[in-house]
Amino acid sequence: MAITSDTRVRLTARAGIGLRLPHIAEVVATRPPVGWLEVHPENILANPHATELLVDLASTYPLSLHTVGVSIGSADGLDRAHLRRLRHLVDLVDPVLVSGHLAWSTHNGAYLNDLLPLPYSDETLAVVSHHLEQAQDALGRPFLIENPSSYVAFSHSTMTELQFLQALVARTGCQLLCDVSNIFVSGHNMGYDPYAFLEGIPADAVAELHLGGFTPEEDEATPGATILIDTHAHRIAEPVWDLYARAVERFSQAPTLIEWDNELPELAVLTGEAEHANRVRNQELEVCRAGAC
Amino acid sequence: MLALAELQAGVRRAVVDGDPSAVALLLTGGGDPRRRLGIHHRHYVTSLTTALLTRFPATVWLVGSDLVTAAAQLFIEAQPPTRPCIAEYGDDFPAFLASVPGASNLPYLEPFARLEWHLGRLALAVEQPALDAERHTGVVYLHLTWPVDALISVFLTGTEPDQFELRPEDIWLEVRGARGELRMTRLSPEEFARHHVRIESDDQEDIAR
Repeated sequence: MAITSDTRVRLTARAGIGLRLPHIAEVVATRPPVGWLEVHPENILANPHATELLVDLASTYPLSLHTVGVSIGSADGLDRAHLRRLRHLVDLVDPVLVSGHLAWSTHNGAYLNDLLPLPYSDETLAVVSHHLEQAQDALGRPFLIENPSSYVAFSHSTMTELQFLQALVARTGCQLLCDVSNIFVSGHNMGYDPYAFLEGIPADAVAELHLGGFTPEEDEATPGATILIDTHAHRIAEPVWDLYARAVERFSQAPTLIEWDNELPELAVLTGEAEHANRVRNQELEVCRAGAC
Repeated sequence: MLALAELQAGVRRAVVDGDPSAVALLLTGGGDPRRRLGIHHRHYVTSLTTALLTRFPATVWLVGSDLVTAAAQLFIEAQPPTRPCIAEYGDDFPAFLASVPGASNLPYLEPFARLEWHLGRLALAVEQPALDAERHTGVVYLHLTWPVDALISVFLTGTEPDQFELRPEDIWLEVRGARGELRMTRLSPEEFARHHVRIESDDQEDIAR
């Protein structure tokens, strides 16, 4: 069964935040005024107490499940047991969105705890398309695919990342999670124009936007150069806000989420970033309504 | 051109063992793409080491972070996670930790770390889990050969006795937990055996279902 229909729900225009375990009790207690919440289900599945709290939050907020454990690009297939666990959680909290990454993380029974790069080839396209259909069948939901942050690529790729995403959408009708920060990070690291990348994404396919912080490091092999690491450990950088404004123009229907995973700050910092996203979005949409886009 | 499966086997070796040689000639990006791939190796090691140190804070308190960190890094290379829920990673770490050279004169370390593993799991439990795909019962029965329940209570309560004497002793322990609350109760061997039989019987019924 291919799940390709547009089941995009109307999320509130207010930005949401990624909810991590250290904040969950505070969010339950204070119900901060954010539009929606997104969790990594892998943090919830092993934690019955957190599951209980998440069910409680589902009565207040639209929820999204953003998995880091469905290795959609693994050559040796999907982890069926993990998909069954995810399906239980989907049935329990009825998320408005379910998403994962254009990457792989499992090999021969080992889970490598990272989002690893894929070669962009016809073989990979066939593997990802097949697994996407399997994941959607198992979860009973559309499965949004997020563009990765990249540090390295493969010389035998026959497509660029953008061409691959375009081909994936054309072949499967899937929806995309456009991570604006990842576009900026990958553009910097791999030497392409992030605005040109953004222009090439099929606009109708984009159902969610992500924003997160990165960490610049010295690029050891190139004196004076930096590489950007997608750490989700900082505030969103100014040039990413600029790129986000353009993303709002192109994908005005897509709700926005703030991600922060490492060196987690006070909850108020996250909600402040979400408020900033709301201001950027509203300003940009106002400009567009005035016909200046 | 490498097939995807072969490429991923080579990248796995680069990520887990730090050896990018199988895929080095295929990499592009920056002045030295092998170093770029090394970012993923670094993330694998640091994220899982942090996860284990976070999972075993009492063990770190007991023997110091140097020993636990060194053992964690060997463990991560020898036994990568098999499931994406990292909170479930490390159930074999207590036995592995006890086998590393620096732990050979610490016979109480394995039971101590094993007890801590169960305490960490039970702290997240609830009486009736909403997700019943896996067993998340809030009780475990442990037979320990050292009184590590008393020792770990020192860590949990933050008390600092002037002296703590540890001698081998058979301990039959019931540990209950829910929503961050933990309770350890010593049982007689007979009580322990009754509970143990009942738990095993429940397991058999679960398997039959």
